[in-house]
Amino acid sequence: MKDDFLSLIKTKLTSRRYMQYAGVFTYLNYNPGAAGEAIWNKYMRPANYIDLILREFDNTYVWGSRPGEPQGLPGANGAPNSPPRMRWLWKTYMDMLLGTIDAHAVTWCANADTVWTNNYANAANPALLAWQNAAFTANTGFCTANGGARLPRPNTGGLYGVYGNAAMTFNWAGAAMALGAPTP
Amino acid sequence: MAWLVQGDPRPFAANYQSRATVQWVSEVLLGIPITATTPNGAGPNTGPYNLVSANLKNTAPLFVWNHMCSRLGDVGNQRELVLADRSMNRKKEDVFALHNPNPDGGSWLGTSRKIRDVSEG
Repeated sequence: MKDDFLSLIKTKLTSRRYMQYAGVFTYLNYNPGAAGEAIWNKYMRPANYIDLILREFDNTYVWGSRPGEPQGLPGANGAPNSPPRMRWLWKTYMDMLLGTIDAHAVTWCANADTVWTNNYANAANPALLAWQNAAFTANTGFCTANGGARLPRPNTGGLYGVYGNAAMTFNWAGAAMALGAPTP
Repeated sequence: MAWLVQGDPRPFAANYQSRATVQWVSEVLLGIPITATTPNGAGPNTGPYNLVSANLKNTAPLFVWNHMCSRLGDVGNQRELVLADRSMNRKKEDVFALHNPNPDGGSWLGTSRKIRDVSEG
């Protein structure tokens, strides 16, 4: 009896954990419309502000003035190393980081679909069935590779919208800044 | 900042020959010179480039730190660095509380709270 009870609790906790993890994608995609601002915008804004800071840094820092700087590749025929660009490093880092998250999300959701179907699916429970359909329906579910299992990145300005995104980059006066794409 | 110094090398793979050193990140980007009394670890939470160790009273060129924080408390500048997540805002508040230059008046803390509340409204 005790073991049955513990097993039931464990099952419920584990299934709830899957629901909470998968729910991250609905949270990130949430847009309250007239009542507020899209959640993802609030993530993009700081990243784009860092992009703006690094643009200022690239414009003012004298490369070669301090030891330990990142080094660009040497030019042809013994020419000096090309100066680094902090914007480019930031862009490349963000692309890498978010791309890794996206790839992991697709794998996790595919596995979650299998685990859920095999262990927690219950057609007799309307609430669970509704959640399962919303999450795992092929191509449209919020936890499927072709559905919503990805960061809601707009392809405006920067590839991921977290750099070079004029609509999300504001200077100190609150004016939108069009920085263009970072260059290596 | 740790990714500039260590970890995944991919940001540097195509166009760069070498990464930055801890010293450069500390002294140039964060403006915290490494001295005999400054911790000089290599990890993101042990080196001088860790956020908590940043000292706003440092007079060295706090380039990135200054830009990240400057005018954060300006009510006319609500677009910058406002996070959506409540717990992250609490952490941000903690950071500013640690360095609040006027604890009684609560200048930075008070205005950053105001911005936080606006963002969550």
